[in-house]
Amino acid sequence: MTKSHNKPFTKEEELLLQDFSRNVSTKSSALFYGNAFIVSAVPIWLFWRIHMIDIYTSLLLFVVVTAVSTYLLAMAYRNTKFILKHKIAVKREDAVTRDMTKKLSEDKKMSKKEKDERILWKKNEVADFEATTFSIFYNNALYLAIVIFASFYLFRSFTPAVNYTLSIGSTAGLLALFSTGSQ
Amino acid sequence: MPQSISNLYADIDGNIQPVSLIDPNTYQVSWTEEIATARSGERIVNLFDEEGYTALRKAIRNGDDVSKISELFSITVNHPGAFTGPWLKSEFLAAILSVVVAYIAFSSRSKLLS
Repeated sequence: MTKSHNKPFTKEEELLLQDFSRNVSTKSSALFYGNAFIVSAVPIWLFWRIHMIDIYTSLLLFVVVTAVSTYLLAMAYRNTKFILKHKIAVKREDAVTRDMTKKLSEDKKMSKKEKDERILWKKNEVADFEATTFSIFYNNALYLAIVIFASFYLFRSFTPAVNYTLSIGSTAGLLALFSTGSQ
Repeated sequence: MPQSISNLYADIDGNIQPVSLIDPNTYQVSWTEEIATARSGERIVNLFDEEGYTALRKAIRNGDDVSKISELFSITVNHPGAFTGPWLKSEFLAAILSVVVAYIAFSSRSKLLS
């Protein structure tokens, strides 16, 4: 190996890598897990009040299924965001560049390089935000639809506890599976 | 109403039954029908006294025209119809709404990915 390969990444390279990786920031991760937990816990109400599961005797089941569903849903959020982010970045590129150029044009002291960097950073921020929020919306909407369909129609004849486990488990699993597709 | 009319009979579309006296001068007619065969709207309740009732029974037994026997009086009851459950089940409505939201999510995603 040549010496140049051992050189640590520069800050810009690190940023670029972070841009293209599936890893998300801690803040984003907390948002994903918090959201996934709320969305996974909401069906408990449905099964408690509508399907008449006794909440205290089935507490363990609720906790386990909610935990699994939270994990799978957070994974789906992450994957969907990753797929969407670059598409959104490309789509919003022109608008963000125009906007930032107008904003930065008053500042004569700033170098061209710094301006470009700022535009790039802003582009990344815009795409990240939009991808995060859209990913949450998209997965929540699908989760809701599939859970309602599964619990009321698909697994209707099963006992409520089996119905709960199957509909929540399969929905979260399905979403996690869907999110790994490239399109 | 004179006290002598204590035994009244009601004819509701050929279904004859005694009228109950629940209070002095207060009478009550009640009947049951299958929801599937019952109809809503105006129902004519013909009331007969003892004589009319006997004549009516006779006419039915002999297969005569029962409409010829004049009733004591008749009342019209308007029945709005029985409740057979909501038109749309709530879970169906919930499913439809969630599918609409999912469709919006799906279409906007494919718009972003296109």
